[in-house]
Amino acid sequence: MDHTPFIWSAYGITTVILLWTALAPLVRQKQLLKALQQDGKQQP
Amino acid sequence: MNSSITPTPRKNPWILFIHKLGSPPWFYRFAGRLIPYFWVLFCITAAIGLYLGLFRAPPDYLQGESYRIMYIHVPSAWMSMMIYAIMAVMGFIALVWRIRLMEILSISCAPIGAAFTLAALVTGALWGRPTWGAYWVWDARLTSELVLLFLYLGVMGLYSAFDEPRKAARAASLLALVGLVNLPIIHFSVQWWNTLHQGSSIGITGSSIHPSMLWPLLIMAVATKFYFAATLLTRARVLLLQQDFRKGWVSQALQASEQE
Repeated sequence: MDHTPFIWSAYGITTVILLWTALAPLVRQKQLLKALQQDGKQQP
Repeated sequence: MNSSITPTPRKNPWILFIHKLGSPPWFYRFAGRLIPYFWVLFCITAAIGLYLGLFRAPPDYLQGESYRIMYIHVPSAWMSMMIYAIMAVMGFIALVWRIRLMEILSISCAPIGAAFTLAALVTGALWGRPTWGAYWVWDARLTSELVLLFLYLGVMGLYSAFDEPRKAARAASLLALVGLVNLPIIHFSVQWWNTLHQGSSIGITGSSIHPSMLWPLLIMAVATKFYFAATLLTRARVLLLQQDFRKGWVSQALQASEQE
């Protein structure tokens, strides 16, 4: 039995999970900072 | 009139540091400076660990190449339990001393812990297929690890169910503390029950793994700690920003970061 697909799938899926966990808060931060900037512009 | 002058007691620098850390603006700046260092350390240790584990370590005499899944499966499983313990301890501190930053750090642990638990379960299934002939068995270790994933999801779900963040954090902390009972069950499951999952190969007294295979594993375990530190601080900063959106320090911090 060739084990290569199992090994690379395990590494690939873990990379996707960890990347998503790391990037999701950065996207949220970007949205918040953008909203904050717009909020600042609207205030006189 | 008493004119005696009493000297101001000198404060312990560590206590002063902890007090400063409790201040949201100070924590936001401090965490922002630390995060890049943790990412650099993670990249270096992960690159070394993966290189040694995937290309330098010899194949196992029984499992062949499939054992290389160990270099992400085992650190992920360790992290899944360690993060839960940290989340519960921080939750306990938040419940007893009502420190808001601890509430934020505790709840920020949950998605990272859930990610590592999911990674441990998926990589375990992909290791189980060529080794045991099955992706999944209702074995005590696997089942208790799945319960851990549900606990993380429960903590996240409970936190989201409340509108008021401090009330939400208290409820989530309480659930995290109750779920702590699952950690010894996961750890000792391979001893308490007759499981298909193998027993511990690494203990306090030593390891049954050959050093050429053990070192990449230990380096990967260190790498995941740096990943956790970087993502935890990032998530805590974002949550802090979200909660203090309309407070003055947030716009000041934003202006300062734009000037830098």
